[in-house]
Amino acid sequence: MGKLLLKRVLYLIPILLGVSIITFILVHLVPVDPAQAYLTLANIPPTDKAIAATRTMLGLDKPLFVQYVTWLGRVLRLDFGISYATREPVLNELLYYLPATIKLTGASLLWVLAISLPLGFFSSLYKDSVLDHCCRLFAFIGASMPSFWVGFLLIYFFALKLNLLPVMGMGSIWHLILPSFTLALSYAATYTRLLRTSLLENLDQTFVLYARARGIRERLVMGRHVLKNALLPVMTAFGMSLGYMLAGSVIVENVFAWPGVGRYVISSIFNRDYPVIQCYALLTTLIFIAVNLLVDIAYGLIDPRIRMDGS
Amino acid sequence: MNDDAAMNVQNLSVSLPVGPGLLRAVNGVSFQIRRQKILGLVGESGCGKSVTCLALMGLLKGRGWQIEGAVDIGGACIYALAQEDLRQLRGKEMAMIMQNPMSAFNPLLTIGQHFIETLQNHCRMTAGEAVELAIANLARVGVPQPARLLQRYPFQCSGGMLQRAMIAIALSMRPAVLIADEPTTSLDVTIQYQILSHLASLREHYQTGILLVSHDLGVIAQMADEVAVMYCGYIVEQAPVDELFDHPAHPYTRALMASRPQMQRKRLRPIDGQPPPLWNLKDRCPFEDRCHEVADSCGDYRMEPGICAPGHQVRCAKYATGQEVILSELA
Repeated sequence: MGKLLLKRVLYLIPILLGVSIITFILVHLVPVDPAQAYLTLANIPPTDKAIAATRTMLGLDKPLFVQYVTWLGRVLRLDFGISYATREPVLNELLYYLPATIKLTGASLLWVLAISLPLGFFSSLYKDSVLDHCCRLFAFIGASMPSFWVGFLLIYFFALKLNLLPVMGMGSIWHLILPSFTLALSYAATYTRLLRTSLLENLDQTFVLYARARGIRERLVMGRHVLKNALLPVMTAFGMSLGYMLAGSVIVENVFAWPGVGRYVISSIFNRDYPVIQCYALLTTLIFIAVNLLVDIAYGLIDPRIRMDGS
Repeated sequence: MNDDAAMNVQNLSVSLPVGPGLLRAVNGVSFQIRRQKILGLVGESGCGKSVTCLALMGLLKGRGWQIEGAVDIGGACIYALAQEDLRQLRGKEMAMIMQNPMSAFNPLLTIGQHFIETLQNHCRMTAGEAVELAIANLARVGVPQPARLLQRYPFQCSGGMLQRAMIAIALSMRPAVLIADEPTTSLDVTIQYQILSHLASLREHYQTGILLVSHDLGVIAQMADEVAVMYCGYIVEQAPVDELFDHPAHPYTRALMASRPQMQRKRLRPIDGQPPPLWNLKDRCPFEDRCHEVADSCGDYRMEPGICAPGHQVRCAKYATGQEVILSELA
């Protein structure tokens, strides 16, 4: 287990290095000159002289490689530069918005679990019943509706027509319900199906028949033998989704005016606020990898075949 | 019913609706499993051996299985029992050994956890007591380091070890009946021999009657006290082991024996043709098309059981119609 962890942590280094190079280069490939973007955001007329001066100040006159190394050196000291728009350190800005996004994602996670676990479970238990067909219909619809549209529909019905919940913004727990549900819906649908398939597959396994032949109580058969094994593939996919949810809250945050990282980044992209974009890309990568690492650890705790690999 | 009968099966039929038809997997099967005796059930793949085993355990659920007849254990028919009572019988009064030990164990649990789980589901005992019992039982089936095996996960064990563990788990509750569905098919021959000899000696220690299912006539000849030959869901012939192997009466049994590899013969002698599909079974003899001894009387024969010698049952037109059989001719 320790070996596995060490290996995973060591993997982080090349991945982060690669992502940093890609984001760094991408930003410098876009047609708008960073110096010009900087001047526009500072409300300084972009004359040739001003642009030349800014280029020297931002270090843009040096070769690309030198620029990257200088930037990477600062990044390693957690200095991601100053936002062009607000003149504040980029990392502070992002960390200021991050809790809101984590709150949103966390709430969505609860939705996903609360919906997909029971639906998937009973759907497979009562296969081909009315309940099962309803669950499959839900999964089909939920997975195919785009989240911005679901968001608007929910706002229309629950906020405007029924006046039950606030339209947008962040504040009380009521503000959290619609955006988190919107973010959760497609994942809940996907996981309902995934869990159902996985459960059905495991119900047919010989070890389930053998457990019944040994006279094990049905509840224990379902929990310990079927569900536990069925959760393994679901968990792997879950790690991926959690990363996507954290990064993918962009649309939902914009629809519901949720003051999270996603909304901040969208405005930064429109502003060509390059240091923010770079920092965001690295931060997202880090979160993504960290979540997957956690899933790997959890997987190892459940599955001895992974835990004892190589020992 | 005999006093020493541990399980009495009367006229058991199992069928499954498939589309418009009916798949008749088991047809009017009757036999007794006697304490300390081994009943061998032999037949080719797909003849209904495994379905019979599952029906005896009451494990055919869902999918619309239709079960008729009676399976009596301890004076009660398992199909008259409530689900919970049946569950309590399984693993305690009737135990089962699965065909492929490698896929029968839950990959996420240790062998010890399987043991503890089974014992605690039937008796009040602490995990420590269960482990003690497990170690004693594993030693009896020839596991060299029982305590270590209990710590292991299924993927760390060989098929032979897992099969021993399965036997130990099955016998630890001293069941009246042990159903062994091809227990050695997936093991190599040397291990096969060891496992079988353990099974043979343990039935006396545990007072258990065994139903040994196999497609291997050699295994059956060596192990069984009584043999039932199954074809297309019918038990076509049933007799004590020596009687059956010395005087096989049913043409199918004889063809089966002739098809075995023998030292003095270079080529195998297969049975011509294929068994008929089970969802198309008429009430006629299912072996008719492959039989070398077909007679005119076969057309009217409806699989009534006949007797050709004391304790020797055959389902063949020749014995049902009272046709004279000269046993010396068959030998």
